[in-house]
Amino acid sequence: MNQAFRIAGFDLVTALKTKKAFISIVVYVGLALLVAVIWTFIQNKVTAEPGVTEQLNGSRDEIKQLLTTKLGQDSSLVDYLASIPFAVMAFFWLTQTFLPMLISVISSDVLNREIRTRAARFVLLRASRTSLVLGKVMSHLVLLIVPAILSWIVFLAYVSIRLTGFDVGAAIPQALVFMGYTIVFGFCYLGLTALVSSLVDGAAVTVLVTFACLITLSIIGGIDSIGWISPSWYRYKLWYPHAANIITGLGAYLGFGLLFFAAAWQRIVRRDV
Amino acid sequence: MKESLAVVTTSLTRRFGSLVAVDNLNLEVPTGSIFGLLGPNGAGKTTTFSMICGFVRPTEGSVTVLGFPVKEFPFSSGRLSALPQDAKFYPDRTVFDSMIFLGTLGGLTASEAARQSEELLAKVDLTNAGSMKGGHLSHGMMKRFGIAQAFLGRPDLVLLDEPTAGLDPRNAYTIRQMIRALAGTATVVVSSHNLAEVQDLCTHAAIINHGRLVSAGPMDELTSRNQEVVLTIGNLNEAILQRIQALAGVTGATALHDGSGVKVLFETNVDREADQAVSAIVAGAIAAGASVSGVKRGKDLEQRYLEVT
Repeated sequence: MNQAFRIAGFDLVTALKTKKAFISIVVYVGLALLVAVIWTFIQNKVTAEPGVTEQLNGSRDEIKQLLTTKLGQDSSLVDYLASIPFAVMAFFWLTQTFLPMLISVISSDVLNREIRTRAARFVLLRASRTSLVLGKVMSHLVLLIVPAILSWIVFLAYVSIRLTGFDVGAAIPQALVFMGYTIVFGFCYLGLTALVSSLVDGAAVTVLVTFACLITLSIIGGIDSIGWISPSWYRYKLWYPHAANIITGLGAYLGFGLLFFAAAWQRIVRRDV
Repeated sequence: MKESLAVVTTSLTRRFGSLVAVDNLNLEVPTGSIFGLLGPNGAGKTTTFSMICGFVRPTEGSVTVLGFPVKEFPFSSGRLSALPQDAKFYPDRTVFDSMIFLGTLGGLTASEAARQSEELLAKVDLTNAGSMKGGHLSHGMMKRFGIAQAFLGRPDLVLLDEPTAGLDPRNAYTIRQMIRALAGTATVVVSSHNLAEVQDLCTHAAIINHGRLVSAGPMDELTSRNQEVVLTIGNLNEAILQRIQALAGVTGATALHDGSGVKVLFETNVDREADQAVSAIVAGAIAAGASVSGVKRGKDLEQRYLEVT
């Protein structure tokens, strides 16, 4: 395990020196800020119209009715969703939509970089292949978690300052829950990227193949009979207030992530380097 | 597994599609030896190295390294190091950072890794390149970095794939000195095209061709050092030749084609060590009236190499 930590540390320092870590943060935070600015602009513009705020407040029941129509008669789900600030919901929905693609771009070389340049040969004389995979995965998890948390903080900070009527105190607990979900959700897609990276040698090809996998998994996730074999199928489990749904959703993302990582690890252990 | 062997390959075979890079190779590298691995381009030397290091998996056969099947070798022990061919280290990290990282990965403390790194980089003439990034190193500098990292720690087995290829004579000399300094404390396997260098440096050697072992053994045996001596004789004639042929222990003596001397084959046994045998032959030739102006024991490794490849 020591070897894995050393490799992770070296990889993270390399990411800092190559500005990869900085770019990751800029991309995540930049996109979060962009969403915050656009959302704030639109919502402020709409609510600035005379009577709109009152109309929105008065239409809570109508919104609940609409949610009931869409989601069925689960009143606790309807109440739960209706209680979440729109901005927070929108940001979590966008995160679920675009995070897998961001991960596939930023971590495309998670396992194939050292193998392509054969730098892995210097490392593998002193550490096991398992340590190499663990180390690389740990460093890329940090490169996922830190920017993801920062992006939520920046988003919340901006909307709390600029969005009229945004109750930051009420939003924070739900945002923290979604932030946690984001990390587990991202873990799964980092696993997928690592698997593709272990199978394909070029970083650009890894991105393309991962995109193709994401589209395929998304299509499969939309098919009722077999959707459960795709991570996409579990996306909306994370929107429920019920423990059973949440556990199913988080368990699925953790499970798929571990499955992808295990497959990537096996591939690295068995291949020539 | 014999404990006196640092590396054993048994029926080692590696195919890449239809190409058989290494074909049923049985190799034994004695512990403590400086072992030369020779062969023409494409003979399978680098693939053999890669299988010994665990980078490439054998299609058939097995490799035992320091007593462990290579799949089970404890790589974190720092007992094995190598100069892999064509491997490039992180282009964005400095030479010194990379050395310390590899040193600590091999079990050294950070301060010990730093101390050894400074020393080794100085030896390979890279002191001023310590702060250079890997991506800015020339081919020769990358090679010297590769050699320096191979000597980090206290490895029991060091594998060097063409360590002096592409280096200037001074650096090549330094590398040979570094390898010699390891003699007795570690086993070193060196692949090289420089036959004179291998003959000078190595205690044992193996020659492979088309992935197969064609000759192997102690250098003295490969070069017939203890079975053959060439005397340069200015006044060689039939009478002198006959008297040399008649010397005790001599199994054959033939005049060189250009008449400049005589090749003498002799046998050694418990009573007559090779050094004594050569002294006796030289003394006998002088006593026979020969004007001996040169003595050369054995044949060049080059000659042996050309015979078998």
